[in-house]
Amino acid sequence: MNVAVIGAGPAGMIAAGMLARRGQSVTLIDEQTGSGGHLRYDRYPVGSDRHDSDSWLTELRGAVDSSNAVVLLSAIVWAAFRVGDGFELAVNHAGAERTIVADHLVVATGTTDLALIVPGATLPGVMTSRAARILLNRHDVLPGQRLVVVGAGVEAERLTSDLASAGAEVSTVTADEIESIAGSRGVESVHLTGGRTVTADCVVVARGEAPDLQLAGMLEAPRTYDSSVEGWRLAVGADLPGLSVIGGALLGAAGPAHVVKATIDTVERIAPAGPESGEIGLDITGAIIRWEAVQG
Amino acid sequence: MNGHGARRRATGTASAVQITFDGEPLTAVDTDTVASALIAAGHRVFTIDSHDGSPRGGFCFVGRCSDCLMVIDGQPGTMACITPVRDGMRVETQHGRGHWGREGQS
Repeated sequence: MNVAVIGAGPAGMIAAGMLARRGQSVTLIDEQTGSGGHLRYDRYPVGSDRHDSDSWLTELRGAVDSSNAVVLLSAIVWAAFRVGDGFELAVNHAGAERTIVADHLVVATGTTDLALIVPGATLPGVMTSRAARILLNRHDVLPGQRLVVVGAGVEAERLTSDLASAGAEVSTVTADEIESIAGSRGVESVHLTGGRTVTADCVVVARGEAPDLQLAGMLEAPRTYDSSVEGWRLAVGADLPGLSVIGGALLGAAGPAHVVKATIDTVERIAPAGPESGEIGLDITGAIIRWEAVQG
Repeated sequence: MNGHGARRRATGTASAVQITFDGEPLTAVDTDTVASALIAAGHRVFTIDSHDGSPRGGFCFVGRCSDCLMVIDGQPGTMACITPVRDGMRVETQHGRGHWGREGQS
């Protein structure tokens, strides 16, 4: 069976590696130049054995590379269609158009950061928390000198701490406190409730994340709006012939341990255990324990 | 410069790459995307919005939001955030939908 896995984050990499080991013909597709998804820009220790996102990424890449899965990077899946019992994907691969045909589709498109809807939110210098992490952790670039982090959860706290450690002046506010962002060619100040104004050159939106279901939606996967995450979720019990939604795209920011477990469950359904089912080239149990540890 | 405080903290083992931004030379490093190179150099306006003329500078940095579309080597609508830099690359601010350059049409 031809299986296309869209999204080479942890969930997509686990699914691709496992499915390839179970004899499926797998193509793992991602628009970035490297596999790993958020592991490429997240930096945190995992558990007491000093495993971190880097070593987890190395493990996952090893599991995929030692399988027969084909990895297609710099490849944007910009449309997906049901054709007969299978699928056709319109893919822009490094600037050239091509079509990929699959019998089964695994959507592992991860999550999207929530936006901030206030006047001035489109100004240059307003960015998502993952944008700030990519600049800081992948490129060693501090996105500003006086930053305002918007959010109230764990990610807002972690980001505030990381940016401050990197040498920036950071204040943290909730989304409800922001009335507007001002500036001419980019962020210059943030106006808060109660008439307060904060000078800033960067606003980082760390309000949370929602499943990225654009591609699943294109295939008419039934979705329901979840106001608690300000985003769409896959409808519970949805019947999706030939289509599996896994990882953050299914669960949102549910936590890596849940993502890993749900992904393994999905693979079991697509390609039930065979004689070599135990061999997945990855210490999944250890990985789950480490992921649970970072969840606290 | 636009007067904001973005800066590169370290370059590690990365080697220098020369590109141009709106005709001016700009030194990036080989691990940069176009977006990270511009931010590190103090430039944060990538695109002028086609609807209201407002400046945009990249929001998601993962190839999702279309706020970083630039004319890169003559090709408009290229996402600066997922395009790696390479020596001699010509990067231009995109106005509206942008215009194809001669090399982009080949």
